[in-house]
Amino acid sequence: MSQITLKDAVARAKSHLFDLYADDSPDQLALEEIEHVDEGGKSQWAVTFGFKRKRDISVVQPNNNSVLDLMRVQPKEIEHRVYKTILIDAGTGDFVKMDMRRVS
Amino acid sequence: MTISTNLNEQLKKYIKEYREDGIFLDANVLLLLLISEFDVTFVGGKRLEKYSGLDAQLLRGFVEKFSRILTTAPILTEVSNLAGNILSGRKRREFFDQMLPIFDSTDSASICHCSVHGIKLVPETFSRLGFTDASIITIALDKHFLLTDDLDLYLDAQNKGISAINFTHMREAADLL
Repeated sequence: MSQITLKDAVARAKSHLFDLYADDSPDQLALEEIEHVDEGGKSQWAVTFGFKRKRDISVVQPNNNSVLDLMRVQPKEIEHRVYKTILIDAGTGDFVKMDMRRVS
Repeated sequence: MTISTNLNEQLKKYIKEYREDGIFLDANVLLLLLISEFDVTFVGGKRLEKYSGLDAQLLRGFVEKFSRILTTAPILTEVSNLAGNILSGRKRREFFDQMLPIFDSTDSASICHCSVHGIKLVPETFSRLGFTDASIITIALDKHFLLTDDLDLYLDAQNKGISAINFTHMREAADLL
């Protein structure tokens, strides 16, 4: 059975990542790790990307329209780097799944 | 093979800073280097599926900028076991004959065996990454430069202020991925 090239696997993984995050485009994207895995007899490429995401932290508060409201903490944006692994079928090039890559 | 400007600057800085001291290679990267030096046709095969001959060329070109390779007994154990899984028969014997001086525990001009005897492991690193990587971290904390393609090891090194490069970054920047 013919195999897709690793470069092709990375390109497909990147394309899927952008599709999955179409409404929150990955910032400072980097290719971080590649592994070849055999899962259930299927050869796959595990392609890990790291990127920054901004997550809104909202605090739900009653709106009393008082002066104190002005002093309350506004929702914050916390920027953090996340790692996601996209699994690509090494034979067909099909997207298999996306996993959260847990790092320290 | 060219590497993007930012990373290139960083690599130049590390070469300048650590040329004399040497370069620490993790087991995967050292395996790629040794197998490709022995017979590049094994690159891309079992256990080295993710690499090509060009990756090996990129690695060799970079490692040659340093006076020596730093290694440890646990790294060499892993490399030896992995190489034993890749090669068989006559090729296996030839490889180990050729590489004996590297695995021998005596230092040479091109290889330095860092002792793990008596080193103090970082408990949290040891529990997550195991003995080989935890010993790399402890030794590299003593101002050594690390090249790895293991994301967990790379991030742990970075978090601890160790000078480290992720080989996957080099491959991507060299347009090999």
